[in-house]
Amino acid sequence: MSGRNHMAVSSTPLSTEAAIHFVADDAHGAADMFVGTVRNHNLGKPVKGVSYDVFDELTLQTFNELASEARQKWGDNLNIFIEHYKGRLDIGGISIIIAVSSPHRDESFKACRFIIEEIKHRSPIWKQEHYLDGDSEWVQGHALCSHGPVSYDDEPAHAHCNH
Amino acid sequence: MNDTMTLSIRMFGAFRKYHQGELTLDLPVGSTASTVKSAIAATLQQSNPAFGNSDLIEKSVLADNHRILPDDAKISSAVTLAILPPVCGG
Repeated sequence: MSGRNHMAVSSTPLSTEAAIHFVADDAHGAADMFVGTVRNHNLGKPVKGVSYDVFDELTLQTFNELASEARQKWGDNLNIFIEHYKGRLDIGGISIIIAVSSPHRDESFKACRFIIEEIKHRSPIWKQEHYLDGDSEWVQGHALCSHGPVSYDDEPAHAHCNH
Repeated sequence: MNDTMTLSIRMFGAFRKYHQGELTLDLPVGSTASTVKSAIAATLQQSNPAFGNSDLIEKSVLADNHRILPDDAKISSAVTLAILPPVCGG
């Protein structure tokens, strides 16, 4: 039986409790959660907040694609929760929550890591950092590719487009 | 064929620095995604000379609500598209 999906782009605060509650399953002995938060510095500059811009339609589509790919790799029964924040957050604010549950822990850990790394490369989401000195700047990112999924040579840092 | 179509282009990320709201372009029916990107760059550069100093357009892709369009994709009707700069979610 295929697992459950919850995918959303939200402008209300994200909830770790909601994520763990969603993936909880009597048949699963493991749940893994990634929580992304706003850091108080980047590239040596003090940061006071971040605004997230999201192309909702295509982002939700990439979330669904990633859930399908994770199930192909680690089992049809994974329960998967993915929410990304849209709007401005202060330091410590939660920008993303990914939760995955599975019968055993290995699959949850791997699927959770896979999903966050792929989102960083494939989902149309952008960050604008607000600095203590009053400046704001859009963060440089990864160019999107029209040819489909990027792939990794074991290490997520070595992502490349195959096409 | 001189038919033209009106495209609306949604701006995201760093493109918001150069244009507020959607950008409207009149282009020949059947223009490719690559042509649309060039027209976006030309229009933004007119109102923002600084845009020409960036390589933002080369690193960006055009998309509809379902997929990223390859450079040779032909656009044959008036639609809303989006210009997507490099991403950094999470």
